[in-house]
Amino acid sequence: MALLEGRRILITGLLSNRSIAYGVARAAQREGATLAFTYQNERFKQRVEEMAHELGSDIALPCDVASDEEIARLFAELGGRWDQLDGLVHAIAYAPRETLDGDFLDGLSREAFRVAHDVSAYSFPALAKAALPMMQGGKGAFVTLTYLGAERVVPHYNVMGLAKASLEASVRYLAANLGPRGIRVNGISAGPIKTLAASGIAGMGRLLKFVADNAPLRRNVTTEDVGNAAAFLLSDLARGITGEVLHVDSGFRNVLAGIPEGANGT
Amino acid sequence: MVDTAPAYRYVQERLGVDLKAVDAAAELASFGVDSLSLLELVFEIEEKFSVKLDEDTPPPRSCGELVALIERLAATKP
Repeated sequence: MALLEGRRILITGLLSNRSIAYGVARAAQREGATLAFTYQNERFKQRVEEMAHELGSDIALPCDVASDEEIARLFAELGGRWDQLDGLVHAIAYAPRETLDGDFLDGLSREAFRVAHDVSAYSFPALAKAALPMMQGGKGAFVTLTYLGAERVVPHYNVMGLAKASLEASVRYLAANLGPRGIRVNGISAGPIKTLAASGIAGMGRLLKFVADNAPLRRNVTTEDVGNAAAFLLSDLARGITGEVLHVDSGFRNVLAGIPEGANGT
Repeated sequence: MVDTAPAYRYVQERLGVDLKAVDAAAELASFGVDSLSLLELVFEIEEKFSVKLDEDTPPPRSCGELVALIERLAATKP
């Protein structure tokens, strides 16, 4: 039987077929899930509707997570389509452009900090809270996407690293809060991927090359790699796992640099 | 060769930038383009020229790169 047969899963953060959310959606669909999607604003509506259709879904709903009203309306509308929600994938992050270039303090401001944390961190527990009334089956799972910049200093990631650290802390607090109801909460720390949205991060090309040269698997991860891990975390195969941040990063987190050619007999 | 005027007009309306007059090296970011609005820009250009940019095409970062992209797309259309 497929991993997610009969599960209804809401996927946020789908923007293009290069999005991590697209990789997650593909894997979830392959494993038998029924999907719904959100889009951030009207300009992305048609694209997300087309991708949803391609993924066997006719549900694409607007939701700008910076708005409490839009979050509430999302679940009111979803509740009109589905009587039960089994999974939610949070694949949303944003920081103002000027924070993702140069040094940490260069682009730092109270407003940039607020926006980055509001959209990238607060939105996860906010969506979880609003989704809760629809997740009564005792098998629900939340998954969010994070990055190594939460744990270590990654050049130019800056205030987004702080927001991701907050997001990862929310994984643990949500897991403790929702575990007694049988709902699991986990994160995936994905290696860098050349998504369209990530093209806004300075030095992305050099970062991808460094990972490919130095990660144990000697390659960058794909949205398919991340999608498969997300499908696992959303499924009963992961029923003993909650409050965890799983690294899908070719093993990069654990190395200082690659072992030089020839040093280990290669 | 398709008409590029609508693409330039769109950029003018969205960013307030006359791409033909501005310094080619000027970063789109300096006109307030962030990750989301860059996506909107790329999607709009795809729609204007009825193409889907392949995965190896990096999104433009500077005004010059955006002009090059528009001209290249126009030139490849019959």
